[in-house]
Amino acid sequence: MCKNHFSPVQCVIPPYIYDKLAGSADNNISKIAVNTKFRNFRFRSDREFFKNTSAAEKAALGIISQKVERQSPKLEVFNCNHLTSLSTASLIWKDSDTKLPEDEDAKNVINAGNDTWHFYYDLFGRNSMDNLGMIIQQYIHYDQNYDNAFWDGRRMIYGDGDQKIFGTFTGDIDIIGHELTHGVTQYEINLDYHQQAGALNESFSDIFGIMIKQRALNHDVKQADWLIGENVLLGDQYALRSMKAPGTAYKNHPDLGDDPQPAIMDDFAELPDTANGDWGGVHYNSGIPNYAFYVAAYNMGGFAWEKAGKIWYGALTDKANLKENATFSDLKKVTINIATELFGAESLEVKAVKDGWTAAKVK
Amino acid sequence: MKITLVRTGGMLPVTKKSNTEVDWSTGEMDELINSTRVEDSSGQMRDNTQYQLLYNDETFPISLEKIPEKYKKTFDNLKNSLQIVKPG
Repeated sequence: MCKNHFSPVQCVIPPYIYDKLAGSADNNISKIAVNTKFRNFRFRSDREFFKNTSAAEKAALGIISQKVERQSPKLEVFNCNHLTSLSTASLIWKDSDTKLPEDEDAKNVINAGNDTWHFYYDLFGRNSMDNLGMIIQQYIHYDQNYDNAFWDGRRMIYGDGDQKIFGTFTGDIDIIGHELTHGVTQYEINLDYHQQAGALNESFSDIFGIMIKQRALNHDVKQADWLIGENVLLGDQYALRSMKAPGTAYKNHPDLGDDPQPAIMDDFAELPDTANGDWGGVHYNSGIPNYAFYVAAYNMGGFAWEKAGKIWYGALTDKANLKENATFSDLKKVTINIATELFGAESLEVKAVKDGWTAAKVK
Repeated sequence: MKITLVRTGGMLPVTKKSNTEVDWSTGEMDELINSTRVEDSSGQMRDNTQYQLLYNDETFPISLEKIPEKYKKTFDNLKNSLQIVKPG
């Protein structure tokens, strides 16, 4: 049924009628008819264009499909009770429960899980890590004094930390966003976990983790601290990573020494592709694309997720142009292309993306 | 003989080590290594930690979940004694 009741000619009327009305002696009627003809043409051409547009291209254009029914996050929290077996963990909370649990770590992962889900859904129309509404399962109190968090291919697992060097790994929303983003990456471009592709995998997790935190705090690029894990690494002057200045998250730490992350390609860490070598330095060299993103987002101004985040999400879902073994140079090309499509070749945003990669000395 | 347990990896990749003297025979060591050895592969795990057993100048990636009961206490002690190896 026509919803434009205020206008007699913008209803379901055959095109030949518009042609007639466009030539009407009554200026008002002819103006409306021409406008309608123009709009119909635009609709038809848009439909034609979008018919052959991939999901990645739609994401790059920031198009969120119209949801017939608004989705909501599905969450479950399990308590490992300080054991390492996930099969014996007990379900302590699910999204249909009305009350939050008493456990502080459970509250942390519920709140951050919700914020992460809403970040992806509200901004990009993405429903959970697989975009099919998978349940976000988070396991807390893993092992004894376990100072780590990880994504095991299906779910997130968090330790309590040793409480000497590391606090609980549920203590920072950016860490939780980081782990959940590993899930998104797995279901999208599925970057290898080796060498530069692995460092990009880590970088995407840091980038989205930091934006999830900034959005939860309503911080723009200038207000944000650009620090990952400042609660997890105990001590006021420490964080796990700095995206603004990789290599400065901790200095002279009594147990960890200095933050080894490079910010620029000249300082790329050549490490063996083994467990001992951090699979070619995936957590080291991620500092380089992290820095490129920081510079790009900062130069664009405003909230990081509005422009830079849209460009990087377009890249994260661009399976056609980013392969599993993608390099920093590949991501540079893709982000510049997406920024060009979104904002125009001569735009400030394209310049900001180029400046980011130049600052990180990625060719 | 001396055996060393090494933990690597993690969201902030750190290396941790601990060692102990054991009086296990070569046959027992072979049994231990054969039953605990795993592929040295990242798989789909992201930010995960890995364990290795150093023995006789050789390194074996292992799973602590697979440690046979008779060696469990030793490995529990080794795990609880892991110390960060300060880089540099």
